[in-house]
Amino acid sequence: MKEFVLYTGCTTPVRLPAYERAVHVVLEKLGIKLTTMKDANCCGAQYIESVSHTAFSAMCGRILALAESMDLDILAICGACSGSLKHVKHDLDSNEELRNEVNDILEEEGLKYTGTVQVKHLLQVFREDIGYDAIKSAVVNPYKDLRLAAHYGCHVTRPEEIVQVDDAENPTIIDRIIEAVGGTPVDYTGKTRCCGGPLLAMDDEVGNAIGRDKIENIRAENADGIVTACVFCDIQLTQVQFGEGASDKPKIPCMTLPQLLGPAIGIDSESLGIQLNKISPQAILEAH
Amino acid sequence: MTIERQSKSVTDSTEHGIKSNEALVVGGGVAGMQAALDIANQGFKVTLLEKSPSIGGRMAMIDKTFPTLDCSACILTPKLSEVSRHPNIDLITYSEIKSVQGETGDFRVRIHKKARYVDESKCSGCGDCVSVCPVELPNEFDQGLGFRKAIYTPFPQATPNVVTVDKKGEPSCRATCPAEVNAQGFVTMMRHGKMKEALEIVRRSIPFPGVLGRVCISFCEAECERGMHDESVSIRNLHRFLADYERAHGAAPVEAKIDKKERVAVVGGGPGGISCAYHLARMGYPVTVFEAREEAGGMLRYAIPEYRLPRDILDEEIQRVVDMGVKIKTNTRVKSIHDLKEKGFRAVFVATGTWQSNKLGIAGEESEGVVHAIDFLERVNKGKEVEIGEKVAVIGGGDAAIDSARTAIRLGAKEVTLIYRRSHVELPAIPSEVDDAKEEGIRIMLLTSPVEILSSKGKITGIRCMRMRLGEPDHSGRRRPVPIPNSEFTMAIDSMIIAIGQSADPHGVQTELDCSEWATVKADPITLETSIPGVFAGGDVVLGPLTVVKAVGHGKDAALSIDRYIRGVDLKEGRIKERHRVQSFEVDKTNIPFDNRAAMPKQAINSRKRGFSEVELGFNDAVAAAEAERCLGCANCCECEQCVAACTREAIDHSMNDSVLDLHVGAIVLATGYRLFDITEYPQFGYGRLPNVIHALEYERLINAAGPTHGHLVRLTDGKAPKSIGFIQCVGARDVQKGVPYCSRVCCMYGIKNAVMAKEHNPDTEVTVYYADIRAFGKGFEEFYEMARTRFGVNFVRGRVAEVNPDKQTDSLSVRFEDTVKGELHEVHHDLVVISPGVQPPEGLADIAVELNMDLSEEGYVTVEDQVIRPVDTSIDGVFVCGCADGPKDIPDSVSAGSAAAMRATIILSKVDE
Amino acid sequence: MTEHVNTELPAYHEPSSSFAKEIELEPGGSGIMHCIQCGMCTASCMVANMTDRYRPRKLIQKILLGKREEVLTSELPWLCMTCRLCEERCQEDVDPTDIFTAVREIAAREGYIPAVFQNAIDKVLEDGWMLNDSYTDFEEDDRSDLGLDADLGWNTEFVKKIKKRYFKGGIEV
Repeated sequence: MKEFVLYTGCTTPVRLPAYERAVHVVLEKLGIKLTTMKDANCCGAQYIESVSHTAFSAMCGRILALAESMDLDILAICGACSGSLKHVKHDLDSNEELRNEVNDILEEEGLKYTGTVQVKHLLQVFREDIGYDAIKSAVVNPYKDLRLAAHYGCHVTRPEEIVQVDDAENPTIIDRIIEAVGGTPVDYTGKTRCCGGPLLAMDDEVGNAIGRDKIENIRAENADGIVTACVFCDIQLTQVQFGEGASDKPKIPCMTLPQLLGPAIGIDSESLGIQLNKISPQAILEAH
Repeated sequence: MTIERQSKSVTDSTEHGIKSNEALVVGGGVAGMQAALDIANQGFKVTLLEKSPSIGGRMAMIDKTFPTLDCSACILTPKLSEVSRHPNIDLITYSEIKSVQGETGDFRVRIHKKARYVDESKCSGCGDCVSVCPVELPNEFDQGLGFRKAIYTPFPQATPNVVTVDKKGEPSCRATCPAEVNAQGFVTMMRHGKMKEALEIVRRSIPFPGVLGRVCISFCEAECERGMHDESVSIRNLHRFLADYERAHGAAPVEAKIDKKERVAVVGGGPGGISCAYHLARMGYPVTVFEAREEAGGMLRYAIPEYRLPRDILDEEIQRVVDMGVKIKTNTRVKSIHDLKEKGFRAVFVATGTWQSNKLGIAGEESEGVVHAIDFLERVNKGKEVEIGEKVAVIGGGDAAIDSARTAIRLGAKEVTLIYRRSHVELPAIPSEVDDAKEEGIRIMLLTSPVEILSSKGKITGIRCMRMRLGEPDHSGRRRPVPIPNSEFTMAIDSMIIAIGQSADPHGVQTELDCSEWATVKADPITLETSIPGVFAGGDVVLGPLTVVKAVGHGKDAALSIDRYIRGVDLKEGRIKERHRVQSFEVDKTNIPFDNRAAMPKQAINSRKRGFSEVELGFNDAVAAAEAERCLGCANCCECEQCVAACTREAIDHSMNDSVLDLHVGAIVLATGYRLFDITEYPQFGYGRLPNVIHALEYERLINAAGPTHGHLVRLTDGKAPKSIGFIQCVGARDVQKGVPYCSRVCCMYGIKNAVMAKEHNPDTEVTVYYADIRAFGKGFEEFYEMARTRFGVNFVRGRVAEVNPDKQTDSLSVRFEDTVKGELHEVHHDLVVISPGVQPPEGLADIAVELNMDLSEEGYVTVEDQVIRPVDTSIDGVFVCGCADGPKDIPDSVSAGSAAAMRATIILSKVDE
Repeated sequence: MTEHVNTELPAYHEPSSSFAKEIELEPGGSGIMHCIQCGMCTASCMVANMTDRYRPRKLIQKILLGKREEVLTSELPWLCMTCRLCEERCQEDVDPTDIFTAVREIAAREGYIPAVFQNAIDKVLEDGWMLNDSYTDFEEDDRSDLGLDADLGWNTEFVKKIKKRYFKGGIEV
């Protein structure tokens, strides 16, 4: 049984605990063991990242080193965390000076980054460690007549040569899992575009306009739901359907990938925290 | 590889000894043609090698040249004919380099010549064969936009002007069939509604389309490539349909055509014997079949129940063989094979089958109520009164076991249990029969074996069984059943049918021949000849009890051997199969929607359990037509041989094989051309997903009068003339991230030319070219660009396109770009988007380079010794390069390089050792 | 390449500072000199699509032209969403995201940080994580209901070291 240490990041535990819960129960059912990382710190994405590359490297470096001390690879379920950790790992592995600097500050805690730890985003675990065939054979309650739009998340898939999760311009993992659970993946304009979330701090109006544009493109394909693989994307694509400037058309439910997968492999929706989803995906859950 | 690096000067080559003054030019595009002509015109022999069926290369596909807008074909055609008529040029098309050895002045080149299935010296290119060919395939010459036949010339001016059969080899359906029934062939004819021709294709291999259409185990379906995608084609039921169709519409009378004198005897009138007699009669031999029972048909008649094979079907198909001139003597048991030969039969085929039921060998087998399957089925099939108990156990898992169980139900048994010692995986019966049996209420008890038959007063009362588990595989490759200790249990039954196989009669007439310890005949696996010359044997009496189609296949093989024997021809020569079997990866299954195989309509459960009328009702016309459409046509050519019949020059030969050709040459010129960058690597442009996004070479075919639209520039989705066209430049060129940092040199100018041609076709069309730079570097190029802008009104926008997205409302494509001159971000709608892909090294160049031990550049092009002063010399002495093989070039530069390479080559050739 | 730009451009296009060279030396900034101003980034950018304020190509152009002060004091480098769609498509292998991150880092060093960024940075360096203030009893209950550990166990010490070492105990570097 493959085991990972789960790095939850700051946002998931507070803003989308159902996602965290669904990751646990779905991966366990599919034969993956998880241990949650304790005594962790923020990865520093976006904010520290913007102002000090070295400080950012040290913050991610500590997370990587913590996993090394547990002798486990990291599972990240947030695009920002997985992107940051992968980026910094790439930098530390190719820049000795930076590695020495980071290890210098880690030494006080008895931690050291050596490069042995691997960082995987949730999508990679589904494809590489579980596999589509295993997912397919685990399905006991397939969906029927369900059109779903996959949203991958920028930091999950880009830059392709560093994160190595999926084809950046033509990602397929979520789509293939949608297929595996009996749904129909729908293609839509701007599938690989951003949800707008990262811009909220600087300009929420533009950020939300970007998110709403995406929702309308998905709506144009008559999708019954949106499937996400990042906490920020999920929240953003949900939030933009509320409030000022939102369309008065019916809302399209967003679900994280494990929340979609769970019911198909026989996990009840309660255990997946689906009751906490802001736009009820009842229609999806009933499509069998 | 024997090539060693030589010193680099051509003039030094005299040191090595020039052993041949002939040259080889690889690649028949315009550069290769020029090189070959220039060598030939200096008086040297030259072989021009081309891997496609015709020379002409890309230039033949292009509509107009730039910057002069001359007709490409008009310039090229005279050159094509000059090449084909030149006495010094040996043109070898549809062929590739297999290996190269030696060094400058002395190269030994081995050529792999693909079978064209057409004799180039006989074919006149008349095209009579093309019109009758039923197979349509995407035309590569038209970039897949139009269709061609499986027998074809790629374009009207193709050189040489001969047809080519596009045949990948033998499809798996045919390759697996013991009787070699051409399934792809007959299914293809069905798709065209040609039922008579389709049935004739089946009858080339077997006399039993109706019989085997019902009872065949269908090895073909297990291997059918469609099964790798969703479900295999229902091949068996399709040839049953053909037989039913003929019955319904009336068959043409059969005429006997016995024109040979040598008489042949067939011993045994079962499927093998009848098949042998049938094939011999087709060849004109007089044949007599000797059958010991009262009617011919063997196991087909006496073992297979009527609900699977109605007897009128069997009778009619045997009658057809009789009508062909075969004599069948029933009630005649042959006592001696020797006697037959003495009576004047030149050859004998022994196919007496296996009629003795195997015994279980357990206590109680002699009890009343215990019968053996073949005896049981024979009595039922002869119409005799047969009593059966209420609780019946059938032992075995083969077709005879299933047949017995289902017959027992029909005779009134209340509870029938089939007991088989292995698991369902090993169960040898036809799966659909097993399903039918289950539907009829038969219980199947797996991994169970009887150990004792219990009886009272000599009558069976029950059976003691043991549970089994599967151990290691045995000699048959199946996992051996191993008893589980203390797992015994008892079942009360009042009848038992043992169906655990049959054996040959140990006292049968076949024992005159060398036999195995089981009394089966030892026969050569290919020729079926026995220990006595002129005597052949086949079917169950050789193989042990197997399947009908294997016996039928043996009959066919024996007929072939007997014909050879009588004619005094070697029995074996050329009969070991060496045909390439089409591999799964060779069959493109992309874009084929999932579709389940047609379900066979069946008689309702209740009525069928009461009688012996046929269970499977057959396909109707619509279902059969739809099912035939599911065939993937794996081998391309389906060998229906309609072309053979249409050709008046006997030029077509489907039995041709690939061949090898050896050349001895002093110099080699590489003119292998280029391929276009695979623009599906840019998903943001939607090529392959959005049908109105096309690439430049597709566009060339669209605007070409000889192209798929006869030169009408229309959209592929709706056939409408586009009112607005966008050309996207620099795709797969000057892209560092895609590994193509270099400029392709030709895209700017061909892009402008294509934009101008759009205006020529329809001056009202809005035409926009999106570019990063316009590189109009050649003579007249800048003027051409200027003319496009001013005289033709083509819009030029500086800004690379980011995305092409579909707009459903306007049925158009929206293109996102920044006009960097104005600094404006735009989204513009076009009806058609044409992508100008960059140029890449051709497929296969790397293989040739390995053979030549030659370096390629990082991008995969041939590296030249010195770009400035030796632009056509490669790193290998005696090997030169021209055209796009060493980097992108336009047509004039390619031709110049061809001439240059020819001159460098002839310098070597002229120094041949006397 | 650098020399090329400087010597071959007409004099009036001479960069007004060596800002581009400065960027080139920052992590991720090395590709800037390869930019041919084709506009692929702007056409791919969703921010540019929604607001006229932001044009990534023009921002790179400003850097190339040496407009150091103008770039460092503007909001533009901070409007990049870091979605990296432009980077994935750039045919010259320029990474606009990394370039703008390099610009941000220089800007930060010189004290130009947008307030929202400043606040977030202060929070992280204080609490060790982002959402300490948002983690109320309400969220804790949700977690408990879901059977998740309500104690998130964030480390608060390490960021103090980070702050001391890289932020000189204060905000600016």
